[in-house]
Amino acid sequence: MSDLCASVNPQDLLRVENMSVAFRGQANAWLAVTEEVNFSIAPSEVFALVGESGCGKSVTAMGLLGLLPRPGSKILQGHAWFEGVDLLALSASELVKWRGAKISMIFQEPALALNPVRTMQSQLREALRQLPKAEADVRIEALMKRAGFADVARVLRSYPHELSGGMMQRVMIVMALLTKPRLLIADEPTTALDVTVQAQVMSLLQELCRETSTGLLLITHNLGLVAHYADRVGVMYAGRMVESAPVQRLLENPRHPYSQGLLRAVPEGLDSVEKLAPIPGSVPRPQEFDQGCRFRNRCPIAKEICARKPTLRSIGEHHTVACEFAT
Amino acid sequence: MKHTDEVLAVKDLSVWYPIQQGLLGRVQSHVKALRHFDLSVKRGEIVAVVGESGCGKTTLASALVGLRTWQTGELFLDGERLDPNNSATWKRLRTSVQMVFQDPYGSLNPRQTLQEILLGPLRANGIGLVEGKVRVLEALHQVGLTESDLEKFPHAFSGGQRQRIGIARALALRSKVLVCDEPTSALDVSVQAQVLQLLQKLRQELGLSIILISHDLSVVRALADRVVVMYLGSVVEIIPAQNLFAHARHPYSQALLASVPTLNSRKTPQILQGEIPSLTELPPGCVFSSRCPHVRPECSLQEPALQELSEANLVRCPWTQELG
Repeated sequence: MSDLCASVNPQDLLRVENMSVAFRGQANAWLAVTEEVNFSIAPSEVFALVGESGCGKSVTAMGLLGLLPRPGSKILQGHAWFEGVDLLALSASELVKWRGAKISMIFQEPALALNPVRTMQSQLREALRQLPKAEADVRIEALMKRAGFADVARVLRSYPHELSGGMMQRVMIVMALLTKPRLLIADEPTTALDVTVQAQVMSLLQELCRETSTGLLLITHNLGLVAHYADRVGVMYAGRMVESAPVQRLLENPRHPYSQGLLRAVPEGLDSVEKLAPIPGSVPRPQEFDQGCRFRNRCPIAKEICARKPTLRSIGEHHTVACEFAT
Repeated sequence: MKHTDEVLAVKDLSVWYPIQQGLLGRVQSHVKALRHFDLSVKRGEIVAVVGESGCGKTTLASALVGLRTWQTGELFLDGERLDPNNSATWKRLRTSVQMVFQDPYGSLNPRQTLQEILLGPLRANGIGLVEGKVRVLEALHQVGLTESDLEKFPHAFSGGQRQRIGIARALALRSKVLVCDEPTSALDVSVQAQVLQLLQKLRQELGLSIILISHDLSVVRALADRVVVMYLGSVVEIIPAQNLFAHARHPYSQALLASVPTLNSRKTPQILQGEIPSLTELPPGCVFSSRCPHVRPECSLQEPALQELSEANLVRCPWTQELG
């Protein structure tokens, strides 16, 4: 534990400690879907949470904002320190004051996140409803211009179906940043978009967050995005954080066998699929989770010791790994 | 003769969707989703079709298996000319050309066992139960599933296994051509690699031809032989996959490649300016002219033709020599 504390910075904007989330499974039993997740984000920093579907990235983010369905889910343990307050200990009514004002979120599908029967303007104004309308409109217009809209007035009059996916996602970014939040959570912000639009949306996000020193928690499965837009990265597998490091370090020198496998499975720069190294088998389901390392059934170097619970330990500056054999 | 190894070819294919308006639903205009599209695939060849959403990739896939009405176009199977507007043609083609869908969760009936899923298309095409069961087992082994899986329902399989089932369903019919519409985009990276290798193996062992529709340029580069780049319903460039990243010549192909964030290069992804125009109001002349960084006044005069730059590289832009 002391190793972990060494990397904790008192200047952190958000510090998540030992966070576990459970869902109600069959026969009403609680089933832990994420376990003892630790990470921190500093102001202006982009921290990426990567992993395959079902690894617990989104559950962690939704849990921080109290957006998980209740009943049906609960925070088993842990803290999420944000400006001296533990977000996980707040009641739903207290959390409302933080959500949107100091912490904003952008979702994967802008078409589903926007209200189809209201104009962009009326939806954007809602984010600033505590301000007089005239003042709100000035701020909306200024930020919309920054987001690269040529004809702001037309976009503001539009309904979601009149805009493209990339335009809708840019409106979502504007909406999320209108209140000048300290922290922005972006859950797969470009997965539903074309690659040509992805570059535009990501650079907008990066630029606006830098300008206001907003911390960004970027949830994605796209390692290319992580390489270009994140400062530090945490790799999750089957509900646990298995490795965390500065981005360059992780990409050049991944230490956990899962991180290594993930990077080798990306077909980038290869002239033949035969050079790919797929990870055999598939991810265990939460019903199959046990104490031991959850990657051991697919791991090329697993030994008996891997049936014991792995601990996250530090193996270098800001580099932690949950594998017995990593050095 | 070149024609003998061409399994499937389409020439001058156009697909229009009518826009109906008013009380009587009169057809006011058309969305020209595909315009004068040529495509051919040889035995054992993998041809990839890439482009942004709305460029007509999926319309092409469904037109190739007869799920769309052809406005114009000619269809050739093994060099024989067939009538695309005759339902008997598609009935016949169904055993030769099969589709593998994008979503392995939505494309399998959750109430059918694997055996029923695989036998269904065989029986619909008049193959008896005895012969059918033999073929089902054969197809199962080809995709790496086992006989003991036959009684299971789709929910018991992972995403990667389901996509194998989708492929087995086409193989059981002894299809010559698979039309794969984004076959791995619903899968995780580690599983995607398994499915890509399976497709490669089937091409080598069975001489299967594959039309691979994808937005992932790295996947295309690693798996395909030839790449067709589409923009707004027409081909802008055809290029061997090995040259895609280094030698793509059309400004749109270059913009598409430059916008991908990559692991190994520190180059910042480039932003392609402007919005994709609507298919109902295509810009005059070259359809890419409204977003092209190298646009000149001549570009809006008339739509350029596909020109052959080298034997395997065709480009719909007259200025590529000067652009370098």
